[in-house]
Amino acid sequence: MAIFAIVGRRLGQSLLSLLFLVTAVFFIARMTGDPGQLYLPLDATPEAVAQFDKAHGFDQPAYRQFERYAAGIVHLDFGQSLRREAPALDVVFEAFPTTVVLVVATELVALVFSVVAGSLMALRPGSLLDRAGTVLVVAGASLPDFWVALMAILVFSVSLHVLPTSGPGGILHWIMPVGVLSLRAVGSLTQVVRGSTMEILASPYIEAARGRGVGNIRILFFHSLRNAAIPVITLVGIQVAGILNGTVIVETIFGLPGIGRLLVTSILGRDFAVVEATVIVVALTIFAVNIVIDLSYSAIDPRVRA
Amino acid sequence: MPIVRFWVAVISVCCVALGPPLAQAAANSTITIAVPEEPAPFDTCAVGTIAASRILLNNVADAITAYIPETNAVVPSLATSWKQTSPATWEFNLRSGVRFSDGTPFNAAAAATSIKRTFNHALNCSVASQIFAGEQVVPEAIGNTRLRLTTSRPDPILPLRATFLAISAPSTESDRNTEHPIGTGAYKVDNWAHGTSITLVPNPFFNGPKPKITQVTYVFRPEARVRVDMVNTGEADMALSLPPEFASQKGALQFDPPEVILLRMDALTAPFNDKRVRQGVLSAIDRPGLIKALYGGNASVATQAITRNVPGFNPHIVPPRYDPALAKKLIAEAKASGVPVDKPMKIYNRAGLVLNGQQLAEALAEELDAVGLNVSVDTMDVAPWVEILFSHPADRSGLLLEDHANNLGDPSLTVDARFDPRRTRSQVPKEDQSTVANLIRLAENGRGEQRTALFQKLFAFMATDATQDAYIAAARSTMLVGPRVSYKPNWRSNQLIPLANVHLRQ
Repeated sequence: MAIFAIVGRRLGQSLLSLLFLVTAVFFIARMTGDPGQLYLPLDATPEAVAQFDKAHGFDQPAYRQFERYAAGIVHLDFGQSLRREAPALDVVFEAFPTTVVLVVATELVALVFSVVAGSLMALRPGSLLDRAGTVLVVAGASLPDFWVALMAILVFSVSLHVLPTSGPGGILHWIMPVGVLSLRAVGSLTQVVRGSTMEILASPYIEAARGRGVGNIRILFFHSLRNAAIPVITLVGIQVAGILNGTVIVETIFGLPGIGRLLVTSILGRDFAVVEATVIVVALTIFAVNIVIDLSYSAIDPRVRA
Repeated sequence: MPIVRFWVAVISVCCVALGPPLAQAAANSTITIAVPEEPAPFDTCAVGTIAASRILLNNVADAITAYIPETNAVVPSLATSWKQTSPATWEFNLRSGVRFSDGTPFNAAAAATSIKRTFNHALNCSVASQIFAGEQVVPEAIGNTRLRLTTSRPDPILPLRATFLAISAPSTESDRNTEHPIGTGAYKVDNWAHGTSITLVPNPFFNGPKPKITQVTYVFRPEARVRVDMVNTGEADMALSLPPEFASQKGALQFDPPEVILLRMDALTAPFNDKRVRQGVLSAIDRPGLIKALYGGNASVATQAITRNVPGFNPHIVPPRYDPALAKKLIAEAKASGVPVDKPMKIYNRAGLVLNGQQLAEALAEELDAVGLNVSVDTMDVAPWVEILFSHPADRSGLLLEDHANNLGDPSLTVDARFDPRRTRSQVPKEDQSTVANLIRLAENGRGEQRTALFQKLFAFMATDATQDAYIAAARSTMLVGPRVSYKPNWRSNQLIPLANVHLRQ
């Protein structure tokens, strides 16, 4: 029952946030101007622009357009893409899987690396490993994605010929984009794992385990990791939202047809239906991730359930 | 159902990612071309845009006529011959035995259907708006192989404009842009992976010589550095639309496109409605200095709105001399007579339009400030910039940084678009409007060399008297070609790359 309560509470909060988001994006998008000026010939007459606006409903007051839009959403009709002349949701779902794979792979890589590195750094605070590791992960996270991506292509594709430069394809094509995105995620995750693990390692029950002769590796990965996991999971949730919304640079450089590129193209092209559908799909994904994270809190720490 | 499609797509991406690495060594007869943008729309009637034209025109879809850039000659394509039967009527004899890539026969009725579609307002075709500049064309099939085109105004250069009338199959949707263009060219579209690539393969119904290149893949890479690296690693054979910093790369080819970078002055509004202020702007710009600093010498000083490849180019126009002292004097004189030269003004720069546009705009603002104007830079995306280009909102008068391209290769395109005082884009000063209108009328009614001379006179008047524009530079274009292919660029290579001109090296 507690799980249902958590999910129900979260859904309620998410629904409110979603309503606000949809409304805000709808009206803000319309403040950017008239799509007719972009989709019609450059020197289209005012009559032609008016005809275009009428055909797409842009001649109506914004609140009327919103009424029609909201009624459509209820039936999963997010409108038509002006640029592609296809249902907006289809256009979004064409691009979304690329970004989902990018996000999931990035977080998996970041988690595995951060848990191992952060735990080992926490074991001997102030050691050479700890200091060098801290410098490396902070430096990695501080480098701009744009620069790292271009340098990675120069090194691994142009000089070493071990990875393809760009584009979707086999697993080799994903190594650089995932690697670039992971750098930032690893930077903050490793620090959180390190800090959280250090705190746990100072706990009396860890001292007791040490007293019983339990080895460091077992203490790290069996006794302390579960208790150190909650802040890490929180950060993973935040990172997933950040990467979902921030892959545009990596997608652009590596030529990946993901949601970031689609969103930027649609904003510049005043393709309102696609902008709105993208925002809703991303928001729903983030809400789903948050619910999963809430549930995982209660799975890891029974006190949360209470 | 969308959610089902979504999960199918996720699984597909995962399967591809976990599968064997793709696109390793390209087969001997296939090539890959890296381009910056995906065409939208990807339609035969959208070949007025570079993104669609360089893939479709003369490759997937043939046009009624064809153009030889080296000689500026219009030659037969789907039409074998043509004649003007009245000032607004042309008749074309069409080839027989031609088939579209879906197997349907090409004839006059198919051509008429396709041309009607191009001029269907609902489709907003770039060919209609940019190449025909608002002119209406009514096609009529006369028998199986004769086509009559009637234009809404006399059009002496219709055969030239017809080089952009790419013909699509009758099965093409008539009321919306298609995603499956079908033409009579040597290639057909095999696959369009949205956001990623478009692949062409030979058209089995093509009645010309069989293409030696058996597959052409256009991949979309917005970042120029990545396009270059794709050629350097052998993943691509050509990289198009590169900035000048790549001109020294091995395999780089340069050509002079019909593009001019210019600063349009709002000559209908103060302070630019005063000729002294406009003359001051012309003298305040250090063109050779800007070219050296921003384009590394890969540009020449522009003297008019067209380049020397376009007939009507006037070689006798001398660029304004960089003379900040004279500029200061002219601006001061205007100020003394009450012209509001210190009114805050903007240079409106459209992000990504002009090569090194941001730096150029900043440098121009500095040079204009130095002679007594009050100019800053406003960089914006396409929509608000287009609004200023055509609508001239009162609160945004000032200077517009443009890159004017004459892809048709005829001066009338530039004149119609920029100078005709009836057009909203024109900023010809009030006192010069009747002169300009008269010069345009004379030039457009001229024939042969007389027509060229009249256009030259018009361009000279615009550059030295009307001065609505400050012409700055004509930048060279750069592309990169890998070791597997050879290609000789020409001045239209930004817009047209017929694959028949791309050769595999033995």
